[in-house]
Amino acid sequence: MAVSSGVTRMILGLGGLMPASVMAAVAGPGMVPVTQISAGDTAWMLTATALVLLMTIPGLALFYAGMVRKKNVLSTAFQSLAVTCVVTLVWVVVGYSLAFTPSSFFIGGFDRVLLHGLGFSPDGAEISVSHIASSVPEAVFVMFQLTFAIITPALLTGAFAERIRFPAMLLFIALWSLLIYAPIAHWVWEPGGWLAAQGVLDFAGGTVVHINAGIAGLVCAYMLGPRLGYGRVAFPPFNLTYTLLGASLLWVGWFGFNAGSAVAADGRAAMAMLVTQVATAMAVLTWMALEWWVKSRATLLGACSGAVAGLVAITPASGFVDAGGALIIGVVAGIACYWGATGLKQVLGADDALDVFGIHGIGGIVGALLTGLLANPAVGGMHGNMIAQTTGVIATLVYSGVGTWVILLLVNLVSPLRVSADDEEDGLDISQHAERII
Amino acid sequence: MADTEKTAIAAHLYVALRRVANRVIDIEWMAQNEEYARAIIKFAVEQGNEELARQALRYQALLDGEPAPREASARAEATPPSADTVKKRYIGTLR
Repeated sequence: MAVSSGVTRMILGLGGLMPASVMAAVAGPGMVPVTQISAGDTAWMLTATALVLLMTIPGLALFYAGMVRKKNVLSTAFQSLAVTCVVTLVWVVVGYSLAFTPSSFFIGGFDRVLLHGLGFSPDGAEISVSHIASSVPEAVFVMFQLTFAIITPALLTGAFAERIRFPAMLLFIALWSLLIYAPIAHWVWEPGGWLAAQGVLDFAGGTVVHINAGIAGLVCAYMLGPRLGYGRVAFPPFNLTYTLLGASLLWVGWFGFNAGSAVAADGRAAMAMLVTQVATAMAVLTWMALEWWVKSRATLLGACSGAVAGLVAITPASGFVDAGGALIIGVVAGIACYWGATGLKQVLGADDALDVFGIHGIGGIVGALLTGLLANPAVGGMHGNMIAQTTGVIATLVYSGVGTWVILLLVNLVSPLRVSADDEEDGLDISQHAERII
Repeated sequence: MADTEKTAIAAHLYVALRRVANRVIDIEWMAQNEEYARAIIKFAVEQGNEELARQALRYQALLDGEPAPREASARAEATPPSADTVKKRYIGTLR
């Protein structure tokens, strides 16, 4: 298959909207002369890819490990590492093909199963590229997208922390990556996807990654039930220093996540980096101020949570808004996610252990909707559309929520999801992995 | 509550014994096995170290069914909120 032209990337970014006339010209991944590859873009995308992987291992692993009890620290960190490996396998076998090759409005095709056709031509004169990123080798694009596919299910492990059986988790993550993540990525990011065609703006994954992980996490929390003693005894976090380290790695890695989603080393990537920093700082200050007002203390955990809230909310908007929009997004995200992790959490009643829905779900929804409101054509080349953004949010909530529920039911038939009460009491480090922190 | 206090005091003993006597103890086993706990207390008192003796006596009180003597820590009293208050923060919510 042939790629339309190098202009595709400029029009699309990763989560941009593609006019129907251009979409018609897009054929899918294909071979181009190696001279078409941009060294600058490729160098940046290689770097961005490493940054995004750094977000999961060790960023998210540390972020989550610091917030659970001592007896579950190793198992929680291990889950991030295990998810990385499981999703890598699923992605190269079929996930990438289903997400990023054109086929139907709902799901991609099988052209790239086992990455068939990816690489150089026999004489080395041509190299394969994705139609979504025609100035970088397809191998880079596969890797970059893989890191997104990894962090999404890794995020939702925070919702069922401290009580899931390890084998069940591995099976669940493999199925979830294939049946939930790949289709939604296709809907939003593949030009033939139905949400892309509606005009949904999701520059770096507010919908595909965060709303998706948030609602799935909430369903997991309901399905697995609360941890023993939840709401009656204290679950003090093991070491919030780890959480600070993790949050900081997430923040730095997020520059690869957002600025990398420009799929180029250009002005839009620079703007994405700038607004990411601005929104995040604003969200931290907002969360701190709220805590000060409500609890008379600003906490480190609160500041870390505010940072993640701001990063999540700016994610869909990062290629579309200016610094003023980022300030607004940061403030709204700080307020909304604080409520999500406190007031809303009480209302929902689920033991979403590490507040995956409260921060990623709510932050993602806030970001998606504000992108529709604040998109600046001077930055991203287009206005937002609130109806399209709302459609994207609702579709993701429904599909991911129901799909996650069905997958959990199926997995539970094959491999029980929940550890026994004794194993939970002993801690997952010992009961699942025969290790512990002394 | 008593087990929590035992573990907390045993943690102090762990640190002090490693520093003073270069001995490593099993904190969790202390909470479960009274005989082991009493042996550790005896050993701690024998070291002639004030901090070790104080923590050992606190643990001894718990084993005897009495409340552990409060730590005369000016720092703890001067720094609200207390550790208990902090712990209560994490009941049913993390943030």
